[in-house]
Amino acid sequence: MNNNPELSDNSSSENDANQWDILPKENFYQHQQNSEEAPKSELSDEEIKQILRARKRNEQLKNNVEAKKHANRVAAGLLAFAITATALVGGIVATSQKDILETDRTKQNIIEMENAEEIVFYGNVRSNPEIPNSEDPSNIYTNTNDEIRIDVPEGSTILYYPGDKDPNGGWYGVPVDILESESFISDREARRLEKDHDGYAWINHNNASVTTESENSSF
Amino acid sequence: MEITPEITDQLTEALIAALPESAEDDYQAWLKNPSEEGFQDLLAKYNIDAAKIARATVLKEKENEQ
Repeated sequence: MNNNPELSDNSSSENDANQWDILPKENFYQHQQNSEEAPKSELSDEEIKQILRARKRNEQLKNNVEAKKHANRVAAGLLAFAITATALVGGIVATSQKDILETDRTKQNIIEMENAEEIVFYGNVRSNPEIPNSEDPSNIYTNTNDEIRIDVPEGSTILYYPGDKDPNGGWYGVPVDILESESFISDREARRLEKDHDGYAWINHNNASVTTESENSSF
Repeated sequence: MEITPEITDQLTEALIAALPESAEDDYQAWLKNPSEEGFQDLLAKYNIDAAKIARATVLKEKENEQ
């Protein structure tokens, strides 16, 4: 019986799990020492399993041109946003809403995401990211059980506020008019959005992700 | 910073590596019928913080460039 999952061509997940269970650590470390990824410290069984699982999946992806193309397009979109978010050039484009933000918050480091296409999130939507949901009237939408997906209309801009003083980290700013028309927003929540002072509802980045238009269509 | 094929491959591999063992069947199903939306759904279903992994990839690349 072949105990080395890397040599096995059996793609059954159950059989693979069995192979990993009986994989001797010595064989794994011998292989590692023969590769460029020799570990500097001993890995747990679970970590070894995870590494082997990841290798197998990526090998399958390399052999599947169509899947690789689609996955890379998603990755390219994420990279475009990540590069923007990490730029932290400071300063913001002057608009009336931005001026309000400038007077309300730490002012620098708010980033515009002009190519956002979709935002996916679970609750924790506030009127002001610096005021917790426990304090009215910051609380807008708190249901964290349902995944919400919203298409960002063309021409709309999502903001990213790094939240340097916030233990929860960064926040995505979504124009309130995008949320107001969504079916998951209750009447009470819609009234709060109407009264929002800076025109943006803020969603914690730990509960959300933004997909941007891919800038590289060759993948 | 330019989005190169190398860094895109790097992020794709990291995203796939982040999928838990329980995602195996869904991942295999996606391979048979791949799509952008399907891949995004897969990441969302298993609560993969793709944005965070992307930021880490970008920061690592910037460190390598320096």
